[in-house]
Amino acid sequence: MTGRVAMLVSTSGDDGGAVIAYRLRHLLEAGWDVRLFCKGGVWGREPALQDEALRGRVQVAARARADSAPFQRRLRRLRPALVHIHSGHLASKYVARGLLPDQRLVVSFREDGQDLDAPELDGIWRRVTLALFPSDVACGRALDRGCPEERAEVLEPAIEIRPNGANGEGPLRLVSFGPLVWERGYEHSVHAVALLREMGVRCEYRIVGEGEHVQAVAFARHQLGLHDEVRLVAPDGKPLESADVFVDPAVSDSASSTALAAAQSSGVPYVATARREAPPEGGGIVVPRRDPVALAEALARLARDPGLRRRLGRQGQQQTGFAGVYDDAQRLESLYRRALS
Amino acid sequence: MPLSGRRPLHLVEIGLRWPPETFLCWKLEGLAARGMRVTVASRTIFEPEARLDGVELIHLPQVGRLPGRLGLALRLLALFLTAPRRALTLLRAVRRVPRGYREYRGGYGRLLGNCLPLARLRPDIVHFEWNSAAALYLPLFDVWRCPVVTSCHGSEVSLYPHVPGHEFSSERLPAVFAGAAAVHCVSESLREEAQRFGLEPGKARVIRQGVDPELFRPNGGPPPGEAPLRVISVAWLRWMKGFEWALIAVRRLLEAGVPVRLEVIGGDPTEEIGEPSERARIAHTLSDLGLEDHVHLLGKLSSADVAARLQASDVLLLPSLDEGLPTVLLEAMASGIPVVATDCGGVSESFTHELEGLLVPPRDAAAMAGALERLWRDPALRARMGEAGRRTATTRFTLDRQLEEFHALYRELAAA
Repeated sequence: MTGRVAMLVSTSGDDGGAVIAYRLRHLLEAGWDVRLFCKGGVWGREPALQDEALRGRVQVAARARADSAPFQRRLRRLRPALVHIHSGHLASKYVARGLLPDQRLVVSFREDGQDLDAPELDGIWRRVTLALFPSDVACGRALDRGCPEERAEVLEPAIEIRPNGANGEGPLRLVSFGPLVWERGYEHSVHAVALLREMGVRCEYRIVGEGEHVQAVAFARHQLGLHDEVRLVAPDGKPLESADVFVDPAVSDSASSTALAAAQSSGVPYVATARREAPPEGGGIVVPRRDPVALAEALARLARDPGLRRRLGRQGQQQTGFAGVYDDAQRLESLYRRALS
Repeated sequence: MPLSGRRPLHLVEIGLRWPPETFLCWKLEGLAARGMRVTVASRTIFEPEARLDGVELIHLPQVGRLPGRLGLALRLLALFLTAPRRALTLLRAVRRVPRGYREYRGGYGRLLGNCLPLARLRPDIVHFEWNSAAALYLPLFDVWRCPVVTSCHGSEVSLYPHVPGHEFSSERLPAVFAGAAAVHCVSESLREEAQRFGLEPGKARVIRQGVDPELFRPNGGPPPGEAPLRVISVAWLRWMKGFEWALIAVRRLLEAGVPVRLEVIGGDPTEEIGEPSERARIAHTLSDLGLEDHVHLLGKLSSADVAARLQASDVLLLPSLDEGLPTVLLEAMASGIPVVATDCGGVSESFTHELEGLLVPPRDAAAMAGALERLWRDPALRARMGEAGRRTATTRFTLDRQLEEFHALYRELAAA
């Protein structure tokens, strides 16, 4: 069973733009008629919502309040079967005014419990079809504050992935991380970036790591004239942040595959070289070792097909079994079905 | 040639290891044979018993064995007593060294300790083959009051300024060039690179490498057999020599049905170079690409053995990522075999594409394989290129020509 859903977000919610965008795309692909109503300049600038697949699905009012009259009119016209409000505070305003009387109501609460101080909390508990909490702790806190147990559900937060460039615009953001040793084959991936440039594909490549092979990699960057495209950076703890594609150009099986697994679990598609003993499974494109042309062609394919990137990213997460955006969206869909049943 | 007819021109080479690299041995012995007094001041002695004809050795203390404060003070006092002006000049010059570089070199005392053993030298010419050594002894440039020459052979100008780990030496390049009376560059390409770091065009002297055409000569017979293609590479096992691409090229050739055998001659980089050897990477790549039966690592060989291996080869493959003007190219040409070489640094100044060999882009194993296959399919082309290479080597790149140019440079500087 699918239906028409309106999501309302404000700046006070926990869920990030990339996660919301992923949920929207997932629901649309699953046949739901879903719209997003959001307020605030932050949401207006959210790159993840610029995705072509979401065209016409997002209503942004940079200066309006989400409970203001224009939003109410649009909501009334839409006549959704279910309204999902991503903030306890925002939900309390709607409940206080007796809005949305005919719709099933799903409300997401914050991890820190701040929106449990909302003035109409009891009204929310009476009105809500499902109350969603990001953790057992947050859920327990709400139960203590009177949330009906049968309406409380835990929806663990997805890993935030920011697929900027998902609309095909902006440079493709590549990342590799791991020690800078010859086994990693970074000279070949840097060469692939030079080939990408020749192919007219704009990209930014971050190599995160340190090691004795840094001179060879730095010289490859210099020789190929890639100072603007390739950055060698020290480990920063968030190597996959803002990455569109993970690149693993290893030339040896002895190079650790931990980074590749991290990329898969984070829903970042990869282009990786073949490994003899444990070939990468799902979530990316495998190319021969020491072959910058093959690397570049695979990267160009991903650059030109944001949908493929998304699909591969999803596959990678399924493969590794991590609770990422794919699981998040699937679980949310099942909760919507339950709320409408 | 004696200066003023009484004593020979005295050249001191500083910063070399002992014995020096082969191409430097030829230069030093050649200049000594031309009547120059040649001294090498070295603190990196690998073979103390090694001798070069007509070349003296000054054994400098290693960094770890520099005198302590008392020893330093005594040496300085001795210099003050015997050559007070030199001592003052040296002290002032060391103080002028930027603090960062001084600290990098172990501080004021260490820098002074390095310079003191050489402060009494009174040569006609000082030559630093490596700019990093020139940077270390820069305070002595004023003390000696003789022309100082530095050389740009390759990496120090074309590579190190662009990679991490050599910041201090690279930062000192402009000061070294400013202090030198002349800067020897082994290629036009390096001269241009050096000018980006402050080298005045008027100081630059391009003197290309030379080769002994008697030692490196064709084996006198027709080009060696047709199959398999016998390819040889000669270089230190360092990352900038690009061996991985050579191995990929061999794999491609085999896949294309070209029988090929590659011999790699070269030793591990010495400790002073401070780089890990590429041996493990090469060994892994060999195994990974299934080339164990087709590629052979012969290690470091003597010049005579290298000459013999070149004679027994069909083609020299130079897969480097960076070069100055590689002597081995000239040796191969003198040996009458064609070359396939990457177009980096001064490589294209040593031979003409399609005449003595084939140029390919660096990091392009497919192009390397294509060039080698072409030579395999066309023995007549190999023979033509080999003959042309021999002609070029024996006319443009003789050791005699190189020595004469150095000798002329030193005479000119000393006379000035």
